[in-house]
This record gives sequence, C-alpha cells and structure tokens, in this order.
Amino acid sequence: MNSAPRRSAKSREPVEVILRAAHELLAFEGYPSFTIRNIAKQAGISVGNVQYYFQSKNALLQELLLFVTERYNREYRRVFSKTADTPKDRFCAFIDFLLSDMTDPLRRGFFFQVWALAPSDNFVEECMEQSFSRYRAAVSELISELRPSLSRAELDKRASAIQSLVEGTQLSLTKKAERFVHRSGIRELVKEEAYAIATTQTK
Amino acid sequence: MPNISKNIQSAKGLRSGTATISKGKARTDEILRTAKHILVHEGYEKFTLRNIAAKVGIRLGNLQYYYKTKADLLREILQYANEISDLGYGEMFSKVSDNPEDCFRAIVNYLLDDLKQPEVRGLFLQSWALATHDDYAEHCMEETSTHYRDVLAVVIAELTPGLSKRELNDRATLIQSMIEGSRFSLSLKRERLVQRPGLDDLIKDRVYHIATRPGSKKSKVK
Repeated sequence: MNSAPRRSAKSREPVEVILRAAHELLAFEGYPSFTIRNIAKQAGISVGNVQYYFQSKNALLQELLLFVTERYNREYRRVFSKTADTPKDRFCAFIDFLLSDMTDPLRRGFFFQVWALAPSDNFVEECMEQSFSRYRAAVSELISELRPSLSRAELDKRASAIQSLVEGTQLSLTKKAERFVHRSGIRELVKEEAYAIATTQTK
Repeated sequence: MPNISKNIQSAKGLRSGTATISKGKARTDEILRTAKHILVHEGYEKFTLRNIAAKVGIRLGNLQYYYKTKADLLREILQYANEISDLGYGEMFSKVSDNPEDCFRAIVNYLLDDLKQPEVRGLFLQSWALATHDDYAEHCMEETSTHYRDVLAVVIAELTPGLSKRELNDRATLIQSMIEGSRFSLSLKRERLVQRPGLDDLIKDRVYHIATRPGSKKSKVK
C-alpha cells in the first residue's frame, strides 16, 4: 500500500474536513454522488480548494480508505490495551465492539459502498483485504489467549469463521428510526457461537 | 415420513416455484444481460445508458424506450438476478433426495459454492451498495434475505423436530450469517475467487451443529 505524502500540521485541518465530508457523502449518498463538486459543497469549501489537496477523485478515495482503515486499526489495538480483563472478557468485548459498530449507519453505508468498488478497483480490493486481515489477526490473537496450544493455521481458520459469522449478521439487520438493529437475542447468540468456535476441542 | 417429504417439497417450492422469466422478451433479456455484465465487471461508473446501448448495439433512444432511467434498469436487474438465482436453487433441489440431512447439506454446499462465482459476488456487492441509499433495492434485499432464512428454517425443523418458531429463525439467522459473511474473506487468485484454507469445512461443521443441537437451555431444567 502506498502511503500518503506527509503534510505539515498546519494543513491537516482542511484535509480532515474534506475527508470527513467525503466519508459522509460516500456512505449516505453512494458512489454516484461521490464527486469533487459534491464533496466541496458538503465540506463547505471551494472546488479549487479541494483540488489543491486532492488532484483527483480517485486520489481522494484512496486517502479516505487509508483514513478510515487506519482508524479501525487503532480501534482494534485499543481492545488489546485493556490488560486487566480475562481472555474471555477481552474476546467478548471485541465481538461486542464489532456488533455495535456495524449498526452505525455511517459505517454501514461506507462498508457496502467500498466493497462494491472492490471488484473493479485493485487499490480498494487490496485495502479491504488488508483491513480484514488485520481484523482476523486481532481475533486470532484473542483466540490464542483462550487456547494457547492451537497452531497458526487453526487460529486463522477459527478467526475466519468468527469473522464470517459476525460480518454476516449485517445482512439481517433492520432499520429502526435511522439506526440499524440486530433482531432481539441475536447478538447474544452470535457471541455464544463465536466463543464456541474459539474454544472448541480440535478433532 | 409423508409429512417430512411434504414440508421439504414445499421448502423446495418456496424457491423453484417463483422463477418466472417470460419468453418472447429476447431484446430486454439481452439488455439486462449486458447491463448486468457491465455492472459486475466494470463497476457502477461504467454503468451508463450510453455504454449499455453501445454494447448491445442499439441506439440510446431505443434503450430508453425500454428503460427510461438508470434506476429503472438497475431495479430490473435486481429482479432478473433473483429469478436466475431461483432457477439455480430449483435445479439444485431437484437433484436432492427428500432426506432432511441430505437436503440441508446440499443447500449449504450450494450456497458456499455459489458465492464464489465472480458474477454472483459482483452482483451481491452492487446490490447491497445500492440498498444503502435506495429504498426499493433495500426492500428487495431484505425480501431475498428473509426468504433465504425461511427456507433454512423449514429444513432445520425437519432435522431437529420440536424447536419453536423463534428458535428456528434464530438458528437460520446464525447459519445465514456464517455462510454469507464468508464472502468477505474470499480472495482473488488468477481470476478465481478462493476461500481461506479450511474455512468452508469448518463452516459446514458449525452450521450442521447449529441446526441439529438440542433445544435451547431455557426449555431445559437447569
């Protein structure tokens, strides 16, 4: 993944304003509305000013992806900093975080818009793959705390199954007053099943 | 036994009976096929009426006679895709015995294989993206998703009799989540979508376990 050019602290603020505006626009109105013109309008700055920071729509999209995935990376690491909890608490807290996060309309809109771009855009595809693999690595680490003797391959397989289960629940969320909710009881069941996958005896 | 077979048959019918691609619509079929191809392989940006008309080899005005706007065309594609997937589902079902276990395993295998087709994946991703800001698409996806759970629930009920409706639906939701969520860990290798090593087998194990384990703790004495 190529990294963005370093910017001085002074110029960071408009960049962040633009990225936040672009984030909301993409999530709530979809890729067809994702134009420099619309982003400038949403950010409340001129088109020329947006173009000063981002030469093209594609450059902006790439930067936005890095901005969002980096934020998630920090979130994942934050879960690990809570050292006082038991491995089971840590595991469940992480699953809880994921299940809550997906009910946020901004996250949901962004997630599906970006995935739709993946098959026709290598940068996006790679970015999503990396982000998902960091997420899997976090789950693997949590499982290994629960079951220290598992091999790397077994950890990865279980982490993948847990990731599938958790992410798949996005498809059965329902909308209630601008929020998305899991059907009642589903979150508990998902946590139980995820924990069972993590801790089951190998055959 | 006769009852089991009847319920499974009706579960099969839930899918196979809904395919209604009408004959004599060669032109619109061609437009839809081409439009779908562009959407899936070239992305939404290339999905314009102009591009689609050019690829079908008709004039823009002619295309607009059938589909006035891009949104009209998109909706039609969603429906068309559902019909195609109904046909696949129906065909799979017609080859399976009425034994609940065979039936359950066949559905799971079919779903896990189907989602690896690049065309199926592309359409899935485009549809969900559309659903985040288009009410009609959202409605379509919700309907498809509910339907999917209903079929699973009928088959689970045959495998593990005595479960409440609520519990059947919960199990169907878990199974659907695990299968569908595995789409996000596919990766592209030489034009083919491949799953992470061992994942499909683990999923098959887990979903079978979910479907067949005894009723919930609540109904048992602790």
